Amino acid sequence: MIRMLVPLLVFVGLLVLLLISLPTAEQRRQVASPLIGREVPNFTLPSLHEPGVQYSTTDLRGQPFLLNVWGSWCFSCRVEHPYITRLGEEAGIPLVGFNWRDERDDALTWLNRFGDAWTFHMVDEEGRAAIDLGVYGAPETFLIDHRGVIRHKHIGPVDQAIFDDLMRRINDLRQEAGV
Amino acid sequence: MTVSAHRMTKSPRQRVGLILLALVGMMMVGIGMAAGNVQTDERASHPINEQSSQGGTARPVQQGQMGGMITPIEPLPFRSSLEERRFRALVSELRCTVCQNESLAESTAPLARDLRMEVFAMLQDGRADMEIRQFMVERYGDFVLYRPPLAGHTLLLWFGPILLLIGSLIGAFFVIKNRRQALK
Repeated sequence: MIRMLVPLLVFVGLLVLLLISLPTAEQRRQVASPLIGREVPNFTLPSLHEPGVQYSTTDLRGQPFLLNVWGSWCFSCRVEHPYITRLGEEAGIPLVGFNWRDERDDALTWLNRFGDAWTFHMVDEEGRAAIDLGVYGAPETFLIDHRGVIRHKHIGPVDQAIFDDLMRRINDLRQEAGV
Repeated sequence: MTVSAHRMTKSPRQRVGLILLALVGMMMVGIGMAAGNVQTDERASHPINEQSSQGGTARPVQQGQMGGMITPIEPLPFRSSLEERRFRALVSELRCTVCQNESLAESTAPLARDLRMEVFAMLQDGRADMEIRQFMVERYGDFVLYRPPLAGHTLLLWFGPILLLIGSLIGAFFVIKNRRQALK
């Protein structure tokens, strides 16, 4: 009797493990950033539109902001573009573009073609600042609070569900900051 | 008594053996899951890979000495053969986070190249291997290490295989003992 039950028990056990792990499967595929809860690394990078102007991650201290890593070479950035545009228009906080390992001309052409809802763009041509940010692909979207602490990071394109989640988090951070 | 008749009887020991084997099977899945948590699998369609098609300059590919095997590592001005050995050891135990299970030493991805240059710059700067590994972990998490640290959440990963072996040996011992008795 017990011998007959063993395969069934193994099967039920596997089923339980499957059901436990299914809801978190998507999260486990992504590498959790060790930078969450830590201050955003301090770096100064030139502007995409005005190469003479320098932007620093400390410029925006005092209000929450979004930092979106993109490149004209990145197909998924085009996929998420409509939602990034909505973030720029609806989030009510600055949306910083982090133009990663790109050519200035290509980046500007890309923005002209698809639209530019970002507040401004920093250019990281060499990818040095991206290493400090722990960037490992584009697109990536960071949410930084008014004290300059990285509170959330999304890897991969933003879709409707991610957009809604980001908007919720942004509203929380805005309340926290009182803006 | 024939052998087939014996097969139908279930001695308590046989039961123990079978249950142990079942437990081992479950544990195997558990270890797999723990491994999934520590060394998360790569995202197959990671967009950064598209950048590799950008052009030859971003992908310094060099013909290695080992029978035409391609090594992506660019020639670097090492100050000593020790430094070169340290460099090679480091880049082969650091994971290229955007690749499908490749180390920094094996990958032609632009990010892997950036990180190799970073490792090289830190070596030139006189930083210790430990510091360089720490630098990577601070930015990319334990995921970059091919040898995950021994910590609470990695215990099952480190000792799971040996537990599995012990469990299966005990299970096999009971099963074999039973069958042998049954043959007498």
